[in-house]
Amino acid sequence: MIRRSFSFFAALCCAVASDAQALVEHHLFTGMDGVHLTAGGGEIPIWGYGWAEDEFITLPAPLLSCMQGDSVRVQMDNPSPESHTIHWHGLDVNQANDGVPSTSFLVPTDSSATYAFLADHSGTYLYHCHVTTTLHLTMGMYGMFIVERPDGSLFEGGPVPDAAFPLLFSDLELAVNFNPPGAFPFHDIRPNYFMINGRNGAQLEAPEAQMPYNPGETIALRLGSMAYSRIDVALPSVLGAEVVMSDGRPVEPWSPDTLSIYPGERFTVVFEVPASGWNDEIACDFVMMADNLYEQTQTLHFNNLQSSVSQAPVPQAVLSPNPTRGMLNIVLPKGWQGPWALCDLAGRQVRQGVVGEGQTQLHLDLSGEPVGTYLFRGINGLQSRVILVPER
Amino acid sequence: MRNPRKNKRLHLKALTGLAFVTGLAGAQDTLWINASTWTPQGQPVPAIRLNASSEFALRNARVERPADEAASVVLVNLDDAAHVAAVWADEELANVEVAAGGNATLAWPALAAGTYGIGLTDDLGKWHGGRSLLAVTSASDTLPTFYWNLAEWDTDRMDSVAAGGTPSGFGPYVPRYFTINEAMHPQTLEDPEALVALPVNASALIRVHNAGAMDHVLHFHGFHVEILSSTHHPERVGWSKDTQPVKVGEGITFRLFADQTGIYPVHDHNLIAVTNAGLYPGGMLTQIHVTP
Repeated sequence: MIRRSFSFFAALCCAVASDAQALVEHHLFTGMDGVHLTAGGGEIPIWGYGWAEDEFITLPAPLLSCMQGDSVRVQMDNPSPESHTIHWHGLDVNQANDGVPSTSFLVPTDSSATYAFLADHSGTYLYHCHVTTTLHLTMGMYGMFIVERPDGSLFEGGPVPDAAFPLLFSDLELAVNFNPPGAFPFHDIRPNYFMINGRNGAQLEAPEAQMPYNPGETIALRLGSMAYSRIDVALPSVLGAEVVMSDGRPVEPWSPDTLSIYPGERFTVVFEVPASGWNDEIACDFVMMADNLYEQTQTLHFNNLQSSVSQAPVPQAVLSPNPTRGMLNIVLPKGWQGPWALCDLAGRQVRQGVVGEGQTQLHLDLSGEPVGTYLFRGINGLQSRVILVPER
Repeated sequence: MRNPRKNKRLHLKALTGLAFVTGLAGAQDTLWINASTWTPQGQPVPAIRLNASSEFALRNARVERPADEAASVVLVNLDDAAHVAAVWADEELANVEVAAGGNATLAWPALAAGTYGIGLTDDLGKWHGGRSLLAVTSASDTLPTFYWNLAEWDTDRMDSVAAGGTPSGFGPYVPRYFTINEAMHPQTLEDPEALVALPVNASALIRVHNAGAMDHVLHFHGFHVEILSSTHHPERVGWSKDTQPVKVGEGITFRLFADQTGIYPVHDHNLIAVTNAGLYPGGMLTQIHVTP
């Protein structure tokens, strides 16, 4: 069986070192001028991290990874108007690299710093800003960090899944993101927008968001939460799912009907996909911590690769960078030909053309167009969103 | 608001009764139910505490008993309202009603070594904070031990209960203060039972009880801790965690092995709880200090 790795972050993440290297380096930057797309095409202002070479931030932040035993160095540039840090949540780094302003160090505006630590336990971890954490977290400054093993096992002597899916739960209060100074007082923040890997509602049903599998395969879900809510994951009994790790440590296998994930916790859940009897979904309820009130359900969708062809995802173009400050590169699906158009949300065509035989890419310069969301469309179901953000 | 002069009369009445009870109970410990006012950040709110004397103190007194032995405590109620006192694990194990100005003995069955809850379960006693930590110890518990009684405080609800409000009339639960041992950060750093201080390569026990009305989730910087006991998460005994929920009423015993020097925060990762009246940082936040 060929092992697959899959990530909702795939289009936004750079490949990271995967060959049991002694030293793994990442280069991030911080921003406070990002936007995040909702399922309805709306835009939510965010703060966050992005790959330095991309020059745009994402929610969640880029998925970082390394191999167990690697030395990790992460450079963080901060061109944003406020100080930030990175706290390596669960990696038990030393005080100097802990990312807490009062006990470690701040990274002020227009400066850069490098964090260094040893990734000595495989597992699922998180990272986030620890400056005015209540606010910076809800604005979007968090991501996931995976420590893998060269043999593909989850931990020494542990299961070797055919596919492992990182799934980061989070939420935000829209009014706070649209008006961060209005977030005070912080104790009454009540999230009202709920996400898994930054996706909400119909975005989780999109072909590229569905987790592919073949019946009989062993699947691992790397679940972590940066939410303010508790997440109750209803594990269908037909899956026989087992929790095998939590917080980067193996645990005695445990099979709850509902797995509650509290803010900051991580669990690795493993199951062998049955040939039948499962509807390819796992429901995840968000629950308000203060009063135990149900907030909303977000659903994980899986894609049975051996089911009907009609469920196969429509090939899509890859747009990068996205968001963009002007220059946009579009890699077309293999063999795609025909007319295309780039429209704003009012339907106005701002660019159009025709792709001929053998053409694989388009290069567009959107400099001078109004900041906002645009749709790239073509025949045969080709449709992608792109966000134009202000030039620096 | 309560009548302090009436409290004094009840005080005398309770003291008279106590002589009889303690005479029967021998070395039995006593907890005093005291009512007064707490003024976090200048905002006075009604407060009820379980204290080790008739003198009101903001901090609830901790109770310790040996494992595997039935145990009890005498409660002396100096408040002008009756209360119900109980001991609980994942469910209530024993309770007793304590009349206004009266006293009563709360007795409970033998318990395994671990951390439990003890305190008031009536609306007034619960919402005004008379809930503490019961440490049930075994002879092998020789490690230095720290104690965290967690709670959160919705001052509107506290005022509502004082005015006779009942749960059916409560609005949304919006706690304004979050405490460890009834103190908010940075005062937590002045509490030798909340601030974990130990030399490198030493171990310690941390006993945690959630005396509040909402779940909390503790995140340890710098370390994983082993769960030695839990009333609400028994499947996790033996797990090594850096982030662990403490459900309402739950008692947990952690073992910390301090394998690196430095100063490391421990805080509720529901980050609204790391605030004082909405200001960050504050609230349910303490530190681990590991010296060379």
